[in-house]
Amino acid sequence: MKVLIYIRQALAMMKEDKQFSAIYIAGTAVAIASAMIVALVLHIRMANIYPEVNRDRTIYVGSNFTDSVGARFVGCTGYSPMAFEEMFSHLECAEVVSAVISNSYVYNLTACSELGKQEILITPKFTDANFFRLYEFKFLEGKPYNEENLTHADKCIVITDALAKKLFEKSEGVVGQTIQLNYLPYRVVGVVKEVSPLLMDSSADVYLPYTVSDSRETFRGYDMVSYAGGLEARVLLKKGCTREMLMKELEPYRVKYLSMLNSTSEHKWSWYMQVRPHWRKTLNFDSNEVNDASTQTMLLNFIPFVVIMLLFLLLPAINLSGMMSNRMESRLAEMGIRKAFGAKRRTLLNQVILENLVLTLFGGAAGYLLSSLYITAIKENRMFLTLFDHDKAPVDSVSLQLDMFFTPTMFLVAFVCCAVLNLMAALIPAWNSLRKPIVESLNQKR
Amino acid sequence: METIIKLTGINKVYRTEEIETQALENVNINVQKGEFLSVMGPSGCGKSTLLNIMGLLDEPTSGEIELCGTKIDKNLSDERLAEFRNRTLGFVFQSFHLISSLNVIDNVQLPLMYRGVGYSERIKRAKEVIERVGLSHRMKHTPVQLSGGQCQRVAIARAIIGNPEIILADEPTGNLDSKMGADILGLLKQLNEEDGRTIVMVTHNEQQALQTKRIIKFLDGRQIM
Repeated sequence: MKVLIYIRQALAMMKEDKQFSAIYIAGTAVAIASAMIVALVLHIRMANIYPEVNRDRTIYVGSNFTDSVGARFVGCTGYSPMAFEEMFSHLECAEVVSAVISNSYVYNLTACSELGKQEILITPKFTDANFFRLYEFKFLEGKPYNEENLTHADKCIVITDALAKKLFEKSEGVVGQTIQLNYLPYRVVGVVKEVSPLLMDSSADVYLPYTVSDSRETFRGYDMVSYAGGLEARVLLKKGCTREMLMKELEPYRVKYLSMLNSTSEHKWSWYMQVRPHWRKTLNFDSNEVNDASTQTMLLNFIPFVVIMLLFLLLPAINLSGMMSNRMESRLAEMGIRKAFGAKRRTLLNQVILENLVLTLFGGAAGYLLSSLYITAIKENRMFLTLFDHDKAPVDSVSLQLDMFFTPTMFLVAFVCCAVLNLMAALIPAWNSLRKPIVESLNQKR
Repeated sequence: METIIKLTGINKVYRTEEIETQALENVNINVQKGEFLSVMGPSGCGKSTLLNIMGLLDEPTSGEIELCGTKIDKNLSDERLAEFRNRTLGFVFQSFHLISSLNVIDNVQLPLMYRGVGYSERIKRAKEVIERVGLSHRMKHTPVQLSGGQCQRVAIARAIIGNPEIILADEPTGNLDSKMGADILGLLKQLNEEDGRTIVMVTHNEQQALQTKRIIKFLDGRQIM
């Protein structure tokens, strides 16, 4: 009930001093909006978002091998189709396993609706049929290619509605049409809702069976190791299964392939599989084990987000803190009265911070709306949305949906940002003001 | 008679880089329980400083304070002092010192809030004291919607809600016209006579002072009578 009185007083003071409140709320809104955009980028990279709605259960399995004599050679690779079949087709803890050609072996393609028409550069993704079970794409029309298409290397593709609009100026009635990719005809079998290019594991303009790829490395692998190739394995764990269980199932294959590797070479090799949940992969957290080096890597990848968010909060907080100092001067007498009637300094500090939080939350709400407006209105501006994007070329446009934004996590992030900003802006002015002697406070002109 | 306020050898010196001002000089006062004492003197003679020191709002440069039998140690923490003020003292100020953003009932319940009394009990007691000062019809009004006399009544309600032994009133009628002033003084007298509360009132008004039980006078920081 004490809290209710403070909130009531905060609202009354807002009405009393409209100019201060308006400026404070606007300042807070800009700060929160900026921080929220950074948080959104992180959120998009980490949370369960269309079509990567099972990120919390998705594991990416790659492999590294090193020359154990002084680590003169370090290699990262995927798997050949043969190895993929042997290792991943009978996993007990996997609900779905999908094979995708690693981005390292994939180049942009030219696309046009028919030869002679204007070509555009597009991003392909070469996958198996399970790809569309691992990621829950929304099919606007048609269906994904199937195992048979994959086996026969059928030239059939799934495209996004955005690409359909670009090529055919419509997104419906496209299934059955032909598209020229690098001057070869491909038949459209499905149209999916576009995925934001920020979701690098699932986004592409066009999805093709990996068997149509002309990437030699995909199939041949390295000369000395037959298991190596260009396929990445993505595993959707069954509910209740863990990464450790998956690693245990994969261990015999690691041992087997390591012995093959060592038998074909005069060097002694060591080899380990990178079995990484989505979040570890996102933060370039390479190691399987949590140790000092891997934690350092993770921190180095995480820190820029935190630093930029704090800067976005800190700089306006300095200004808001100045405003708060002035306001606390004008409230000195009130603080004196409260102290005269028995309020302790700590109680008053809590009160001021809580009252200010009410104001900050108004600003936070405005900032939240502002950032969502920014995201929906300014799709062409990639400055924030491709922040820290080392792996991907700049995109032409950014497709973001509001449902990415209005989630409990994002609300929580916004609230935490507000609380941090509030503390930074109010704590020092309030503390300074409350340190003044009661008589001095009471004699302050009101 | 029981001594409820005992000031012994109180000195208060205000120091700046250039000047030193002796606001109070060797003040010794005893106030008995149930007494209504007026403190008189010209502006700047140290009356308000004395009241602030009695009310633990200010520290003396030297000397001893004893309130309700408790010696006030100089090393007492802010928290303990706040607690002591809350339970023992009630203040009425010349300029009312109501919080403008709170309504009457919220202003009045303030001391109980800091004592940790529950909401319903606070409201019940606030309504009782507001009724006693004759402002039941103004409970939801804010100070700006009240006259000076009404504001001072609210301030008195706030001073007595915690049932303190001592009420310190610093020129409580100073900002009021004579009729309202008389009204407020009547209320203070009633609190003194009916409830037996000890009241120390600073005033310029000799006629009002004459209505209290005892008068002391100050000049240049010294008690002269």
